[in-house]
Amino acid sequence: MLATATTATLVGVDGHVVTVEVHTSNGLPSFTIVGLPDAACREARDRVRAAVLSSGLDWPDSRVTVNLAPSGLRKGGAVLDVAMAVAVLAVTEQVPAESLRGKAFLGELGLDGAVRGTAGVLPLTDALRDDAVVVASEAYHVALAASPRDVHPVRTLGELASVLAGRAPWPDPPPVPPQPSPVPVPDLSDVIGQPSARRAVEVAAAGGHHLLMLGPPGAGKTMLARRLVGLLPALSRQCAMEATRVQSAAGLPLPTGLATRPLLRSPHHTATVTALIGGGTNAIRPGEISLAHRGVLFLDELGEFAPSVLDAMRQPLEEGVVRVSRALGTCSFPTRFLLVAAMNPCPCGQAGRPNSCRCSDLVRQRYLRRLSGPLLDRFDLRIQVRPPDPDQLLDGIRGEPTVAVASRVAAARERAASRGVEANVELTGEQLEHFAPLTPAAHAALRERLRGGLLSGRGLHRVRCVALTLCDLAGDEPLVDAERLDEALMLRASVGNLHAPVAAGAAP
Amino acid sequence: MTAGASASSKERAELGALAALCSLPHMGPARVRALLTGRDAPEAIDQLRAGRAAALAELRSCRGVDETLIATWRRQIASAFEHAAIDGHPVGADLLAAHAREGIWLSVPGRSDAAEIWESDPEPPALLFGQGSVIDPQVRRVGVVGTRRCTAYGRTVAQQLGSGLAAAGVAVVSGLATGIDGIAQRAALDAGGSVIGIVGSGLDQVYPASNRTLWADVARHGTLLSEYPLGRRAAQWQFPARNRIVAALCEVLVVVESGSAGGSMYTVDAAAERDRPVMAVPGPITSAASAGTNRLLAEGCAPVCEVADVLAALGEPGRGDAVPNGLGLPAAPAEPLDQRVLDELSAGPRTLDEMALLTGTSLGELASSLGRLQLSGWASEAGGWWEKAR
Repeated sequence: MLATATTATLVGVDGHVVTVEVHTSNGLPSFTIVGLPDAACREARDRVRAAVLSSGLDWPDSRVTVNLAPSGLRKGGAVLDVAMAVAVLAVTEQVPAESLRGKAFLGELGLDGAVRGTAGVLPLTDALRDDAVVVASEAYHVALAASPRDVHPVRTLGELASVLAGRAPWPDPPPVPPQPSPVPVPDLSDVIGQPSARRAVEVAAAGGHHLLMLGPPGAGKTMLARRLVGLLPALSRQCAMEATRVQSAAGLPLPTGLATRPLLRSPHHTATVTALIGGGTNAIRPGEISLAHRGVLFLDELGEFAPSVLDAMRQPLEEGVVRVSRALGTCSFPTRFLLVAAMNPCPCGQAGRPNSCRCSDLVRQRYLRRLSGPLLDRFDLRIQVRPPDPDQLLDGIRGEPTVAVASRVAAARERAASRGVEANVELTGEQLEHFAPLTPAAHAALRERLRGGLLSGRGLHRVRCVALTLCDLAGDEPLVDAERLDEALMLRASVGNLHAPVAAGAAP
Repeated sequence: MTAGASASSKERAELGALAALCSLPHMGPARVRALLTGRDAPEAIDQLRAGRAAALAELRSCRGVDETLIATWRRQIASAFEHAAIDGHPVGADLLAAHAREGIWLSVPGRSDAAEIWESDPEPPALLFGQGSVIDPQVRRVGVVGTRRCTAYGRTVAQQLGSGLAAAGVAVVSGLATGIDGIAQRAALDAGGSVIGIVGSGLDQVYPASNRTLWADVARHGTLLSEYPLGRRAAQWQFPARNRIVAALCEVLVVVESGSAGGSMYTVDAAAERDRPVMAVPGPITSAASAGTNRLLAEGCAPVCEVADVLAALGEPGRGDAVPNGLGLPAAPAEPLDQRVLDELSAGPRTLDEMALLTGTSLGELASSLGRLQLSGWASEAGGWWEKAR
């Protein structure tokens, strides 16, 4: 006797269709799973048997063999439980075999027969080509976001068996959860004073420029980073799908189905290369840079991250995708994120005014050397964050609220979209020349700075790009004048004494 | 006496033995001098190896010398003799050869062309290792020293002093360190002047590594000196010792910027000990980097307001005509906003946020203003801090 059911398994952030074949034959009663199951999948034996019995259904007194096809693909996780169970029910004629046709089953089983959601429902549903998908009740909204096909939520295996046997209709879907409020907390109005930091955060959000904040502890770097996420516009359907795909595959909670707001990920500085980039022993999982896809990756205490970890980020930062190769296979993860980093100017963190730091030159240089030049170059915006002015703090005058700034950011992003990119940071040199010409005065000012050694050729493009974002934020014509250039240069301060002596030495 | 092709074999043997002595760990000039009283270097090293009571007694009278140290020296000398015996050369010949390969000459200060400099010195080095040209006693020498953590103001003054002295045909003597020392010497080199750089490690041990190019340029176009043989790493105690050579070699010492305690203050003490006039560049009394120099001025040190002041102290006031503008100021900023920004910067370094708050202008306008000031040399930025550079 033979029955089949369709399901899917996750490899990286992609679903792959799996056919579960169940065969019963005479012999000593047994239950074997073949077809490259991993540990969690092999344990399905005990879960499926217990769930079938707990649901008041019969387990065959014969030799049961389950094959997971294609047998060359490694299957991971417990998402295949439900498909195995219904195939067993079909082979024992407790449900009609035809009822499984055109349907796919995704879900993990509890010993009591409950159907539970698993990680990766969105990419798994996406990969399936069947007319209907049966998922756990809790995963209903995520599965629905993936495809316009029929999605049937079930709570227990017994319920599912009744429906398949034709004894009951499909259960009603769970109620739609409330959407998160359009104005996210925390609000930017909490940031008092600090005009340059506020400005940099706004520009970063509008142009997608990576931001590096240097400042002593307690200056409000983390506070600014948390508020930056609130300035970003809601994700477009396409971006939301990309982001949700990764988040779903990583098993992050997705209560409303599609993730419509950009996510803030802030890994601790002890994170390994694997944790940040992706990988893993048993399965290839997306790393933090992919979880932050279309969102913000906040690296606090950048100087404390292992240099190898930081340098591993360079290529994904540039290409927007990372390919992770392991013995298990190769996976591609999307990595388009806004990088926001914060660090102390030196290990003592008190490097306030020049000459007041108590760190030795060697210690300070070693600290800053952890940031490689190429990585530092990725930051279009580098600012010093100083604690707010005490008078302003006590005055109690609040800053501009998130709503006001976010509307400017949204307008700037719309302009970027009219140029065919998500944000200005993606513009190439040619596009910049076309979309943001320089005024003659700006041209002259740039030439002077290049001559004076205050700007490198590589930095030139980035500065023009930031200047264009400044124009967009002001709602002006995209014509870069000298003042905008100067402000863009200002937001690209030298970092510690890593670059300063060169620039300062070149000054007359 | 300088090692060269013309040196006789006796002189070479003597230099080799001296180099071998100076290569011993913790063998400073005082100890070498003690050992060399009444005997020449080959004799001294021979007696030390043999453990002669007379030589050991001289050493034991030096502070900090104990039996362990003497035992270490004797062990090292014994092994040097063994190697020399195998090669069939006198002791230290391998050292001389190694230095010659790197283009390094050895000079015994008291017997060199510049012997008069060292005549009355309380603590002359036993042996100097040099690269580049030999010190010409006819060329006047001014020491320019200061803190490693200089401000933009100090940087500007060091640059102008370096290039001004070079234009006046005066050699700049300094320690090749980060900050004032290196800046002054770089400026002097760029202006085509002569420089004498004294370092606190072996000539192949560049410290700080960021000065590698400067180090090589000084060796090529000036004189690079060290008291230590090749391979000696930089150690903290070697820097004050280096500073005394700076003080001895200069005729006038100018301190550009220095905290109230620091290496430059050691140089000042060493210069005073040798009757070298010390001059200081006045700085803002609010600046920590000028605390030491302002204290020197308060104690009666002569101030440096322009290069001519230094030349006058050197007794060469006529040479000031060759110096273009002294420490002249650039044209005052034309824009009223620039002037306001500059006024705010006069009180000390400021961040962008502070400037925006104080001047009440938009970030864009402020950026433009600071950009103009930076290009005209009035202000400079480092690590997010803006400073008045003049």
